[in-house]
Amino acid sequence: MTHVADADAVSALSDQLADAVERAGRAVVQVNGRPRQPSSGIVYAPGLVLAADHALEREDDLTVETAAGPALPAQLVGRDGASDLAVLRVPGLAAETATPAAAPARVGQFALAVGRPGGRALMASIGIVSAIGGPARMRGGLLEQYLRTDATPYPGFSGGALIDTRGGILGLLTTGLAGGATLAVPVALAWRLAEPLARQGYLSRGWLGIGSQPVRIPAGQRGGRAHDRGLLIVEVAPESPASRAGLLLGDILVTLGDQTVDDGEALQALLGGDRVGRPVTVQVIRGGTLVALDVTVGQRPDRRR
Amino acid sequence: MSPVLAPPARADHALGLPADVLSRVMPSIVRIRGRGPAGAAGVVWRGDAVVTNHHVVAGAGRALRVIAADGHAHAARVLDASRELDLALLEVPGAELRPGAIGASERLRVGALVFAVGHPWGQPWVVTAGIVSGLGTLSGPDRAARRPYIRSDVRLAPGNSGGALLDARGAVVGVNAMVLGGDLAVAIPSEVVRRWLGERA
Repeated sequence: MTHVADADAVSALSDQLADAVERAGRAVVQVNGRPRQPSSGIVYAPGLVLAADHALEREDDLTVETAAGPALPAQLVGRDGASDLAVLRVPGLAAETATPAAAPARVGQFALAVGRPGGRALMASIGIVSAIGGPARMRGGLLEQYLRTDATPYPGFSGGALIDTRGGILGLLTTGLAGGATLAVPVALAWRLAEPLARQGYLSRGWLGIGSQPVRIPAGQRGGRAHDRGLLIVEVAPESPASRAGLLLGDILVTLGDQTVDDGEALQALLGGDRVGRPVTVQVIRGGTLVALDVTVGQRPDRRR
Repeated sequence: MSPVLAPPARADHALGLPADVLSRVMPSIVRIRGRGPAGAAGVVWRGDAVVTNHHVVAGAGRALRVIAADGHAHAARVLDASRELDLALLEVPGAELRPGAIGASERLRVGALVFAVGHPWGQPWVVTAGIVSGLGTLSGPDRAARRPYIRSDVRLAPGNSGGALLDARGAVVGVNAMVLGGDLAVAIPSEVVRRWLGERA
């Protein structure tokens, strides 16, 4: 490399990064929802804060603080474990509303993690967008997309912002989704999920009520189909859509609607919120014979409710 | 994220200090050897005076040496020290070291680029890059008065203690002191050092 960094350019970059943190920081709040370490949140609409679901260890007595203080009472209006998102309503919150980044995140771009993890003080670290992944199966459902970063997540950064070098929001930080890895829910997805969370308190997620494992189906037991994969049903929850439709232990689920079902991820992806309350025809192989059943898809129960 | 450079350093990294700035700053960072095998770092404050951490020189006695960037080892003695601030002022009789440009730590902002120069794990004159992560106070070792500190995400290791935290122009804005929780680097602001030196004058 022959490039030689210019002293003024480095200073300008330094100022730009500090400006970006300051700008985004006006919309990053401190969220007090667990005994010791506070967490962070992003003001995504006037009076509404997106926070990290896992950092809210109680549902009452929640407060939110800005740099200016004081602590304002916050009401939990919705939460979702699979995306680790929660929406808080904070009457009287004067903080600015966050601005999404002008363009979606790209692997390799500089990214800053910004949080307000205690004492109302803003903190930041720098790294890059390391990966863009998903859909991924999380506890309680499917997460369409996530970002990964190598910026240091200080304690209490969950719910904070991953931002670009202009202060635009790339995503909402969380270390609570995948074994402590520093991930972010992309801003477009987080903002989109916030809407039903604020409106109805939960995300619609389709649910059959089965436990299954992917299997390879031997020739001659495929019910006349050529495809050799399916989901062996090893559990049927009582009073579940699957139980009401007559699915049995030992059935091999092969289609839902007009889609083949090869594994659990495929099934999760097919069970979007739009299917809740609607009938769909599933095909299972039972004793080597193809059987069609109509299932009315239910809403995935939240284990906390 | 820590681009690691050793002199003669070439700061080609986008986050790196320009090579001319780096070569100007390097002689103002010294190595310090005490009684133990683990070295530390120091910042040249005057031609014959070096600032470092108190915990670096405690108990070193007559074994104390300051090693300049040119490799020359000088005998040194502790002129003054504050356990509370974790600062020590060393006198290096007869030396003509190059003093660092001292920056205004009170003008630092969260998010600004910073560079640590020291000798992590004994590797001489290594630069690591990051940003200011937080500005605030922490309570001292004796849980007494809370004092201002610069927190950053530069990667520090044993051997960085007493070394310089530089801003984007290569000015010394802090003296690296410790690492909290494995990944939070803590530096004593240059303003605190300046005030301490002023008080003892």
